[in-house]
This record gives sequence, C-alpha cells and structure tokens, in this order.
Amino acid sequence: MNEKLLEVKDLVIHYFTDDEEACAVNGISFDLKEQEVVGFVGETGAGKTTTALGIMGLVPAPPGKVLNGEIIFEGKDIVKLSEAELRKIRGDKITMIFQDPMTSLNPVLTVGEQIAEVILLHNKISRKEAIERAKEMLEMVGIPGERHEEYPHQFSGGMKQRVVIAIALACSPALLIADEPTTALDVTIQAQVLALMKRLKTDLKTSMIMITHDLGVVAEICDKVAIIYAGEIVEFGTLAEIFEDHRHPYTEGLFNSIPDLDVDVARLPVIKGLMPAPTNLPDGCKFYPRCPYATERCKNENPDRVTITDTHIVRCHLFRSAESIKET
Amino acid sequence: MDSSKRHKARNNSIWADTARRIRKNKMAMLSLTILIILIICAVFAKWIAPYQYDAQNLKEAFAYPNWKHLLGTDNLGRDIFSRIIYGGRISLSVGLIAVGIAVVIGGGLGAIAAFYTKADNIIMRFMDVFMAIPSLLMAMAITTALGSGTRNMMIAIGISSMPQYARVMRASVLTVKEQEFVEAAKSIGCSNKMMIIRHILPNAFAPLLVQATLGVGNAILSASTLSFLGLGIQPPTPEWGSLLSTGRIYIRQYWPMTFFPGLAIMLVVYALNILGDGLRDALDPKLKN
Repeated sequence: MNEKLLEVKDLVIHYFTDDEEACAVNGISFDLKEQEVVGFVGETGAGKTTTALGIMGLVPAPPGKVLNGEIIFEGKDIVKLSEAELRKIRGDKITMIFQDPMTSLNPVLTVGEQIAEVILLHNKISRKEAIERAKEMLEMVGIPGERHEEYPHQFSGGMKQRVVIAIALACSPALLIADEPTTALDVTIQAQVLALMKRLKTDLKTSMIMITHDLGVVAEICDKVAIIYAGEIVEFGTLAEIFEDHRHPYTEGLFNSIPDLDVDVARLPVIKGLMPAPTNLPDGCKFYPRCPYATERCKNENPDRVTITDTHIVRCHLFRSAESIKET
Repeated sequence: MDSSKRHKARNNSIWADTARRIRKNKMAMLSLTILIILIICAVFAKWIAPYQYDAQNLKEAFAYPNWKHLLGTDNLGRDIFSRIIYGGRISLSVGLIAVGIAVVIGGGLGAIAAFYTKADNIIMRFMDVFMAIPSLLMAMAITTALGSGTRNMMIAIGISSMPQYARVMRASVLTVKEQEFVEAAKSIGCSNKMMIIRHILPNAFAPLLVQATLGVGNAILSASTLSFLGLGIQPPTPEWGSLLSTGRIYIRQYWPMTFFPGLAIMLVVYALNILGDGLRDALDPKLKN
C-alpha cells in the first residue's frame, strides 16, 4: 500500500567508556511505511531511546558509536550523512519529542520564538511570517495563538508538551519520533496529549515512532509494535498480532504483568530477574536467564528472526518459520 | 483571565522576574541608587564639581570641611570634593571596564572550554596557571611590563581577574549544556553557533552577572592599590587610590585627605556587594515568592 519511509537494517550502537562497552542497540531492523505509527515498547535501558537518537543522527559521540547498520530515510543513509546534511533533515523531515516537557523548552525564550525558530531554520521566510505560522501551530495544538508571547514557565506541563509537539510539527515532518511523550504527564493530560497526537496523525499524515513503556498508549495510537529487549527487537507485529497473538516469552510476561480489572490477585505476575546490564550481556538469547521456557540451546545460541506471518516476526528458538516447517 | 491580568502575565522572562524581585529588596535598591548617583556625578563631573580637580590655592591648603570646600582641601589647596568626583570617573570606569574585559574574555574562554571538550583541558589548565599567581601580583607584573596608565591598568586588572570568570562560566555552561532543551534545539537542526548564542549563553549568564557585580568592587580596590603603589594613575589625575596614597603622608596631621576617598571606595564596594547579593537572591528560583 504505502511507500517505505524508513528502513533500519541491522543497527548496532554501542557506548564506549574507559573500561566498559555498553551494548545499547544490538542489531535492530525494522521498516516504517508512510503514515504508519510504530510503537517501541521495552524496559528502561532496553535501547529504545538510543535507536531513536540513531535515527536522528544524534547519538552522542563520544561515548556512543554506530558500529554497524544502515538507516535509510527517503533513499539516504543517515549514518553516512554529514553533520550539515543532518541538520537540514532534523526539524524539517524528522523531528523528535522528548520525554520531559518541563525541561525541553528554553526558559528564556517565548514559546512563539521557539516555534518560529525551527520554521526560520528550514524555510526562507521573514521573522514576522514565522511568528504568524507559530501562532497557527499553537492554535492547532489547542493553545490560544495570542499566548505566543508567553514564556514556558507560564504554561502547565500538558500545555508545554503541546508546545513541544507544535515545535516538532511546525515544518510538517515526514517522521515524528516521540520519546515517551506522556510519561512525565498525569493521566488526564496524557489522554489529552494522546488524543491530540492521534488527531494530528490523521490530519497531517505524519509517520511516527512512539517510544513508550505503556502498553495502553500503544493500543491507543500505534499500528505496529516492536517489543525491544536488551537492544534487540524480540517481537514485531501489527497491533492485533502483538496484543492478541503474541509469541515471545518476554511479550507474554509483559502482558501478564498488566493488572486485570476482572481478576482479583494479591500480587501481579512479574518477569523474574532483571534485564541484563548492557555492559555484560549473556551469550545466546538475551532473555534466557529470565525465560520460563529456556533450554540449553537458548543459552548458547542467539535466535534468529522467525517470520510467523508477513508482518509478524519473533526472535525465539521456540518458534520456527513457516518455511522451515515445510522443509521438515 | 481578564485582559489586564493577561497583560501583566506577559513578558515575564527570568530577567523581568528578577527585576521585579530585586525591586522588593530595599537594601539592593538603596545600593543601586547610590551607584547611580555616583555614576551620574562621575559622568557630569564638569558641572557638578565646584572646582577644577587641579585648581590649586595654596593659601587654603589643609582646610577642614567648610561651606566653601565641602570635604576640605588637600596639601596643595585643591578641593577634595571635586577631586573625588573627578576621581570617580577613573575609578568607576576602571572598575567597570576591567570587569568588562574579564567577563568577555574569561566568560568567552569558559564557555568555549565547556562547549568544546577538546579545548577544555588546554584552556582551563592555562587558567589554573593564572589563578596560581595572586591576582594583585599578576596585575603589578602586567602594568610593569606594559607601563602605567589608565588603559594598561584596566587591561592588567581585567586579565588578572579573568580566570574566576572563566571558571564560573564553564561550570554554568556545563550545567545548561546537559539540559534537555539544548538537545531539543539540536533535534530541530540548530547549528552549534545558534545553539550557544540563543540557547546556552542566555541561560548560563546569571551566575556570571552576580560574579561581575562583586568583581567591580574588587577591581576598584585593585586599581586603588595599583595607584597607591604608583603603578596606576599618575598625579595630578585624581583617582581614589592615588588620592589615598597622597593623603597617607599627612594622615596624622590632617585626616580628610585619606578619610573621604576611602569612604568613596568603601561606599562603591559596599553598594556593589549588596547589589550583587540581591541579584543572586533574585535570580535564585528557590527563593521565589
């Protein structure tokens, strides 16, 4: 149906410190089609944000380093672009919303100026026109345009996040990366922001990568879901496939740990153990120390991607692809 | 929200907020008033001073304060009040310009050191070397090398007090640099230059401003000290330090010659210190009310 907008192939990003090497992203591959929303779900430190920074070309170097892989965006490999070329893409074609709206606005500039800044950076228009555009953007995210002369501290958290969204969308980007956009907000504001993003998704036809650890948010807005564990996508599929027919033991654990209103339990089932430190990943399957179905094979051999359906991919020894079943 | 309230809420940047808060601080406002009066006196010295600073009248030498000479006369019968007002021109401008030099060079170097990690070590170790030498000794060395005179004195004092500004600026930029809005600015395609000028410096400047107000007092004292030692302003040009130093000889017999210039120096230093304190409090968001 739609064209491929972004193609990430075998991305490996490690952080190097004096005495350690942190393997933050270990071979992530996925495609993103136009107008599609992909959710990245995983624990803190699973490599979600690093992947996003990689796509923006913003991996802090040093200590970060892209060791392998390609990020093809509109036919160009972002990994190989120069800083000046990246600057042209950032804010114009790909933008990012950061986790904490409280700190992602500059306290000494008015919100109008901050929105106008990104417009001025990427369009040849006058300052006055840019401010006008900024006002329109504010209106679009539901803030009265005349408040463009106010400073960030005069806005509430939810409104700040709307301003951040307005900045991110000011140049009508092809791809919006939202890094836990609702985590720092309380629930009612979360709902507002999500509703806004959903509306913008249909109105502006922007593709999005939604990074979150809240499966509720994913269900609300995403078309496809990538479950990320220790720098790998362990399961990738459409929303229905992940929610109704998830295969990977980790995904199963995640869903089991969501409280169910109908069932009264004293203690939620948790995935035992902790995620391995990225400086010291186990050989074989990264999940085997915590996996209830772990076998000897899991300990020694890292599973390959197994295709279950065209859209559903899982990384686990328990499953075999349709083709390999036919062969045996 | 009605329109008047909205209007009030506007333009509430940190600077406007700070101005509002400092207006509440009575001591700081008093200090500011004193400073403004002194600066006006210095600027309009020609019209305010009752006598020329070098007008001698040996018949009236060593006069105690009276209606003709408000603060008395010195050993050559020159009016001390006029000399202090004219002296303020030099002392205040030396103070402000020397600090200006220190803030621009020191602050600039500090910002560069913080922003470009590769330059950090080179610049800051260089600053450490500067810091290891007592600043007065440094200033003396520089004036000796460059020769005395107002301009050289400003340069000497500016350079010798530069390292502390570099330190303050570096620390401040390092904190601001790690904040998320800087990364956000990067993510919209800001160039390094834009980022430093628009996003980092305005947010990192507050501590430097406080340091500078405190520094002006120090610079005036250093200038006075250098002049006192004969390395700064040469007579007959009046400068508070050199006024003190000439008065020193007569201190046992005739006190006004040392007392009033000393009072002027004290007044400025005190006012600047209180203003600096007030500014620091006003800029501290934790004390917001």
